Amino acid sequence: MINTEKIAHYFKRNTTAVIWKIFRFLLFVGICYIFIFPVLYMVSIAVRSPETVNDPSIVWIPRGISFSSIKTAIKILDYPRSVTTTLMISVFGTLASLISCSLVGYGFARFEFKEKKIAFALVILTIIVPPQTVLISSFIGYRNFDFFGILKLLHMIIPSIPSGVPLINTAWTFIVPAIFAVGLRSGLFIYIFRQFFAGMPKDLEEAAMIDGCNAFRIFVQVMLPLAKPAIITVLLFSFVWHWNDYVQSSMYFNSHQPISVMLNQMQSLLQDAKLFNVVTNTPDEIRTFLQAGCLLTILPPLILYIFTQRFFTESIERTGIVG
Amino acid sequence: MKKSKLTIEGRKARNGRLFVLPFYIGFVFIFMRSAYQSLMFIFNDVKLKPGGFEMKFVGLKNLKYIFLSDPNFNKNLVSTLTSLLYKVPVIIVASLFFAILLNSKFKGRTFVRAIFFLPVIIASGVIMDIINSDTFATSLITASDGMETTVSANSYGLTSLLIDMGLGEKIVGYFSYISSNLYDLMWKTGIQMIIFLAALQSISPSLYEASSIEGASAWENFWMVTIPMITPMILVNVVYTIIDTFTDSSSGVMKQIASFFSDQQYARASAMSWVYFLMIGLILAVVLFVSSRGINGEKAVKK
Repeated sequence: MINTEKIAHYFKRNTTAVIWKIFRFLLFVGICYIFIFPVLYMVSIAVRSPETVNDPSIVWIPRGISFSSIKTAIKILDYPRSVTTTLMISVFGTLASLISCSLVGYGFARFEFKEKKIAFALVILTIIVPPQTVLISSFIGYRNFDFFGILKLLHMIIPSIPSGVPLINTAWTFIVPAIFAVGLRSGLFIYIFRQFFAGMPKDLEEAAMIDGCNAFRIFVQVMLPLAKPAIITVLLFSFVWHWNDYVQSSMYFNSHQPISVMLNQMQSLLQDAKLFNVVTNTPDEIRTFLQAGCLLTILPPLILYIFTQRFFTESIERTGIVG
Repeated sequence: MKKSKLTIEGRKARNGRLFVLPFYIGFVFIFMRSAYQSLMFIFNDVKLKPGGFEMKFVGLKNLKYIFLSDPNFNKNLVSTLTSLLYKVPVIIVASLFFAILLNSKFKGRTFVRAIFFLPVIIASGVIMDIINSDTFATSLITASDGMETTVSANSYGLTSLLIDMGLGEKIVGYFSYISSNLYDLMWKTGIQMIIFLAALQSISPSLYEASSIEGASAWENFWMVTIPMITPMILVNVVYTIIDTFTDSSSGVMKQIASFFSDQQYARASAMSWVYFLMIGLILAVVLFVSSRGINGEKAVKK
């Protein structure tokens, strides 16, 4: 006990507080440099004119700003269209994940039923098995999606109903599994929600139950408003992971591809464009185009984060009710 | 009325199953359907055809190949397992530390938080590959690494000194591994840090007020309030870190699986992935079992 008191005493001292502040500042500067380096590099390369890319006298700050690389990148990536596709995937995939995973997570956190432990082990199983393993079979499933056999059955009874709808090249390949809590990393989101709800006090729910609320209303009106930090966390992760997904979208999309797939094949797209004399490009130019493409790709999720991260700070004052 | 027939427990169980229902449907009709097919691939030769795929039963040939003939599988598996011992503790401690720092009030917090989110955006995408393949960018990184090589030369002297001082060789090796892989490890803390940040946000300030009135110091607050309140999320992060280390596309076995896929050797790819995921499952089962006992034990002590 003496030991902890001593430490406490040290921390109360002014000098240590100042040293701590300096230490924290230096730590932040160092780590921020590591993280911000790629972005600074992208910006620095993307806005300089291609001729000066290899100029050894320029390290960070370009002489004269040119937007020609960014313009080319927008054209090659088919930016407005690919961003729209990716937005469809990310926005609706995230919304579906949020709804389904919060429901499932709450079910696991607050109710007792016989098969709960096994069911939760299956949730973990869905995170462990990465999408690559089941990719081919899911691709074949989505090529002619029969709504779990319902359409097939109807087709057998009434032949005019199609036996399946093709979902390939649409955002539905991400939304359908997300609705049923087996989408992109849904297992992790279920886990986050379960742990979050499990850590909350039960008093409020009991009070609401005595007032005659049913379980679903308790969930929507009492628990969800308290789960704001968890919701924001899942929202951000889900959005970014849908946005960045390459493994699944490269399989599910062979035209109208989302931005990560476009970015990955940008180099070969540039070669094609060169063949048709759309752009002339040297290796140096390709580098500036690639960096401009990277910058364009990370911009939307970054903007989303800057807007949502204030909820992290706001929620401190709001969660006063917990505890 | 139908409702009145059920006991309270029965109704609770029914409600619970209703909440979990979306997952049950998804698991059976989407996940299991695909997983079953890919499991069948293990025992067959698979060829992709325009109308679907063709399978020819070959028995245990693919599994035998992985364990007995493949020169790299066992080696890659062991190296991933050992890297787990290094990575999990470091990533958990570092991300918790940063989350606590970011949760305190200081000037420019919004800016620093925005930057700490960058690894989530950059490291989980195609972008990292493009940057790593850009020679100029890597030369800039290695330019700052020039400093690092001198440091590691020093740290070589330091390691031998520490071993001479009687510290275990393994402990010293552990720390020199961490210092030489700091850059990679830093990039891997992003997600865990945000999960911790959310957990810290959900701790009610009144708990800290109460304990401070009782005379607790900041140090005691950390151990008596913060850690117990975020224990569930520590578990999430441990599980996530294990899974992420295994399924990271840069890990040896995942590279092998990916190359099998691109060579259209689907049978070998799925055989290898299933064996690999069985291993992860076993490790996670041990972790979850131990932790559930540990947490229950703590509660018993408190009571």
